[in-house]
Amino acid sequence: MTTTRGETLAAAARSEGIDCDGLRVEADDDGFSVTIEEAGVDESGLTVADLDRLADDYPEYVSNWAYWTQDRGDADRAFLRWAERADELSVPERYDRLRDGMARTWGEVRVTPRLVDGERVYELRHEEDIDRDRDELDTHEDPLDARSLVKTDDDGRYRPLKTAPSLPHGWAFVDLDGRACAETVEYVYPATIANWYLERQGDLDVDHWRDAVARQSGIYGVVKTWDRGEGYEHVNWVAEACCDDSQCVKRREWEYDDETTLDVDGGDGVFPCREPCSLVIAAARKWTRLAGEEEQTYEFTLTPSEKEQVEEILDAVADGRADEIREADVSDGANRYRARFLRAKRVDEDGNLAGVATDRDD
Amino acid sequence: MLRTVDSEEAYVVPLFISEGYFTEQVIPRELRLDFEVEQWDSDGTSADYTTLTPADLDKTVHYCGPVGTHDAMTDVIVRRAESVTGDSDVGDGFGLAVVGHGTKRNENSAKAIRYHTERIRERDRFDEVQNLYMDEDPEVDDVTDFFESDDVVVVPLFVADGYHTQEDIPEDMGLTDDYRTGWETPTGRGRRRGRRARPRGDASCERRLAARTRHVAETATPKGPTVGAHARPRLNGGF
Repeated sequence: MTTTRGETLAAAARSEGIDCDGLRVEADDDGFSVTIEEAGVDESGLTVADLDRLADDYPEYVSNWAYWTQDRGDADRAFLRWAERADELSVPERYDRLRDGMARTWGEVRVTPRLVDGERVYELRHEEDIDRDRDELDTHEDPLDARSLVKTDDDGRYRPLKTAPSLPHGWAFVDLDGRACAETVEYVYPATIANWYLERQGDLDVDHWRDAVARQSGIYGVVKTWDRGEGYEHVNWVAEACCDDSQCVKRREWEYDDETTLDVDGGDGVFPCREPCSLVIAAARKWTRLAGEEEQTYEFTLTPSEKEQVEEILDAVADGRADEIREADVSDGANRYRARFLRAKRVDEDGNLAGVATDRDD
Repeated sequence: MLRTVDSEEAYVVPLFISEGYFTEQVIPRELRLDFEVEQWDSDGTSADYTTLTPADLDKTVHYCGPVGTHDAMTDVIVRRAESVTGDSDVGDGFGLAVVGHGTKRNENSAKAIRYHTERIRERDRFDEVQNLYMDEDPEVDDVTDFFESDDVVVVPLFVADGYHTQEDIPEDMGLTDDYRTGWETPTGRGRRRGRRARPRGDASCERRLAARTRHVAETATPKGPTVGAHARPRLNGGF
C-alpha cells in the first residue's frame, strides 16, 4: 500500500513537526494544525484526510518540504537553496521560476536548478556557455569527470589555481541531483561551498598574511623575513598582483593581520578566500628574495613615446593581453613589431636596455 | 580540506614515498593536527596511523603513514617489472634496481627504498636486487657498476611520473644526453632488453602500459650491462 502525502505529513508532524519555507504542520491532541501564511491557510483540528486535501491544494509547499528534508550536509543544503534564491522568494514564486530554470553564477560556473517532472535537477556549465545549445556541449553526468576537466584551460595549459578565471568552456554537467551538483562544484572549486557556508554562519576562520607566513617552513620560511615592521605596502602589491578578480574568482578576506586591513579591494567573488594560498606564498618567496636587492639609479635615454611604450608592454603582459594584440595593430605599443623595433633600436647585443649595463653588485 | 568531508571520521593518507619533513611537519601543520612524530612509533618505515582531532574542526582524524612504506608497495614494484617487460615471470637472469630520490637531509627517504629492496631480495626471484638513489649513495648514475646481470629492470619508486622519472633518471643513467630525444636503438655487445614506459595519468594504466611497452624503443648504455628504465609503480595498478 502506498503512503499518501497526508500520511507522510502526519508522520513527520508527529515526530519532529514541520516548519519549512512557510509550511507549518504540528500534531496535538486535537489532530493536526496547518499554517501556510502566504496562502492564508491557518487550520487546526485536522485529520490525515484533511492533510491529504491540503497537500492536493498546495502541492508545491509539500514537495518543497519533502525536497529540503532530504538528508544532506548543511553546507550543501545552503548552497542548493542559494541557487534557487530560497531566502528571497516564496515557494510558489520559486516553483514558477524553476519550471523554466533559474540560474546563479558561482565563480565562472552557471548553476541552473530546474523542475523536471516535479523534481529538481541541476545543470552546470561555464557561464559564458549559457546561451549555447546543450548538444553543442560535451555533456557529463558523473561529478568525478569534473576533476580532470578543469585541470587545463581552453589552450590545454595546466591550471595551477583552481579558482583562476580560466575555466575551460564547452562542457555541461546535466541531470544532476542536489548531491551530485554540490559534489561537482567542489571538484571545480574545492572547499568553496564549505568556506562560503562558514562565512554565512559568521564562522569563517581567516588566516591573515602574518599568520600564514609565520607558519611557513623549509624553502618558504624565508617569506616571513619580508615583513620588517615597516608597513604592509608589499602585501598590498601581492594582493594586487595575485588576488584581483582578474586573477582569482575568490573574494579575498585575509588582510595583513587582524588589525591591519590592506588598501587593495578584496574583489566581488561570491565565495571567500580565507588565507594566502600556496601560489601566493610561492610567488612571495620569489619577491622576498628580489626585495633583498638594493635599489640603483639608472639613466636611460628614451623618447616620450618609447617610455610610454615600455609601460604599455608592461600592462599588456600583466593583464594577459599580449596574445590578443593583432600583428597589424602597430598603434598598440605592445604590438610585436613595435616591441621588436624598440628592441632593435634601444637594446644592445648584450640585452641591455638603452645600452646601460645592469651593473649588479653581487 | 577536511572541512569539506561530511563524515565525522576521516583517514588521511599522505601520497608520499617516505616518512620525513612533509609527512611529519607540513601535512599535519596544514591540517591543523597537533601531531608529534613519536605518535607513529615508527622505525622510519613502519608508520601505521595515529588518531587526532584537528584544532579547527570537531572530527576524528586517523593520520596514516605514507603510501610508499606500505607492504603492498613491494608487490607494486614487482608488478611494474612484470608489466614493463611483458613477462609475468620476470626474474631469472634479471637484475632489479629500485631507484629512490634519497636525500642526505633525512635518512627515512632511503629507508623506504631499502625496505622494499630487501623484501624483494628475500623472495629470491631476481638474480640481483639493488637500491639506488638520485641524491645519495649508491647513486643511480653508476647503475651498471652495481649489477653483474646483462639485463636490469629499473623501477623508480616515485609518486608521480614527472621531472625525476622522465628526465633526471634516464639522463643520470646515461641512457640519453637529452631526455627529449629519447634513447637510441642499442648497438654493441650483449642482449638488449631495455625498455622505457611512460605511465598514463589515468586509471587502468597497467594493461595499456604493457601494450605500449611492446613497441617502445629498445635502449642500452654504451658500456656494461643493458639497462631499461621503467616508470614508477602506480597504486591503481598494483593493489
